[in-house]
Amino acid sequence: MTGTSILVRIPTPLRRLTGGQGEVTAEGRTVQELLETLERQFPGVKERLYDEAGQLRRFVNIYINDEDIRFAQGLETTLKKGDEVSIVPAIAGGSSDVGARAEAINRPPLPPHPEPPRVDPLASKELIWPV
Amino acid sequence: MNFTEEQIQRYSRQIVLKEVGGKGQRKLREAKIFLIGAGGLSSPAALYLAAAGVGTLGIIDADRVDLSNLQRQILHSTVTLNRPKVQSAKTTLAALNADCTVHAHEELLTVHNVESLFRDYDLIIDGTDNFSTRYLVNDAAFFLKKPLVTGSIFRFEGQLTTFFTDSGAGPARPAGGPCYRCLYPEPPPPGMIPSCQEAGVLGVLAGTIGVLQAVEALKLVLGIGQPLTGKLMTYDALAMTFRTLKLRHDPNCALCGTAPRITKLLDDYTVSCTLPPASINRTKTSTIA
Repeated sequence: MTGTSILVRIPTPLRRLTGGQGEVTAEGRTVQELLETLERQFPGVKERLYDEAGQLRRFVNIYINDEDIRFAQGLETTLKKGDEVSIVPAIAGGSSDVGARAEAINRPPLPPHPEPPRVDPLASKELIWPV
Repeated sequence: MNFTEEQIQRYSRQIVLKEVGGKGQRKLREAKIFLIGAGGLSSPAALYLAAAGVGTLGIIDADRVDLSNLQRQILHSTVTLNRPKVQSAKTTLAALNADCTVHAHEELLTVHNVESLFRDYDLIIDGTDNFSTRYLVNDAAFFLKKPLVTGSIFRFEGQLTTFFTDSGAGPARPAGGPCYRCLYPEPPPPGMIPSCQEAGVLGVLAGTIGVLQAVEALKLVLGIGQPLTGKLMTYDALAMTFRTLKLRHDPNCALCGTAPRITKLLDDYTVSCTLPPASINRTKTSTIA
């Protein structure tokens, strides 16, 4: 590949794949090429970023510098020397179990203080975006 | 109504700022801010808003204080363990500043109560822990034309932005601005990304992002500075870096685009979060977990 070397910022949920590194470098003339290179360097990255149709997942945004590639040419957007790429997935963490658990959000009010769901931390190992 | 000598003394360090002054302090007293949750992000936000003299805070949360909350949810303490969070919050905030009226809603936020709850407030602060609620809050705030300051945290990382819709009553309001669906058109399918509960979070990170949400809210009420509209701020606690990315209005947005497909609150926010079927252009993502 003849692309330039580009700095790529890796979000926390993907750092397990990069040996904990928050910033890596990879080559590519376009974002697509860059992600292919990343996949070779850090197998598994691509599966996290693309859906089965080969499109970027809709809860993951990729920025070249501060610009979202969806508002440029998407994966075909070209990269130039000095560009920095950030991968920014949606995150939802915040308060604990605040007002609306997913299973209750559409229903009329429930009796107060239902038991919070018990989550098996080991189950997350099976997730596509493991931690 | 004028401020008492005691109030002037209490708020003197900010009244002295020319951007605040007596006029700004009155704006704060008249402000009504609604916080989603009495947890990690809302804790520092509510404490600073009450301390600043915001007149009315609404807080909704159906949970009780658990020992595992105290690492980050600083509205609560060992003394209030097992008490309803909103009651614990109200007690803490009343002790801090009796000028602040706290409306405690010990219930779940749902499609049925969200609009009636939001209606009485000038501004919404969202720090929920799940995508269903984020999309519900986004849509309701959009339809009611309420500014929305949204924050999220995950392990060592945080995100923050402020959404507006144009026109409508309330605090200073720049026109336009994208919505959460412009940023992320769809949430991850259930189970694809672990929650904080599963993944863990550095407690102080909730403080950092929650306090920044309070800063945004205070600026909006006072009508000063530049809000984070059209920008997504990201914070990496390990690298200690803040970055500001452009957050553009998506003309194809299902909610605020030029041909919106969501024209009222959805019936179902558990999947909703995904769009009505006809609008999905890409192959639907399935859960791989």
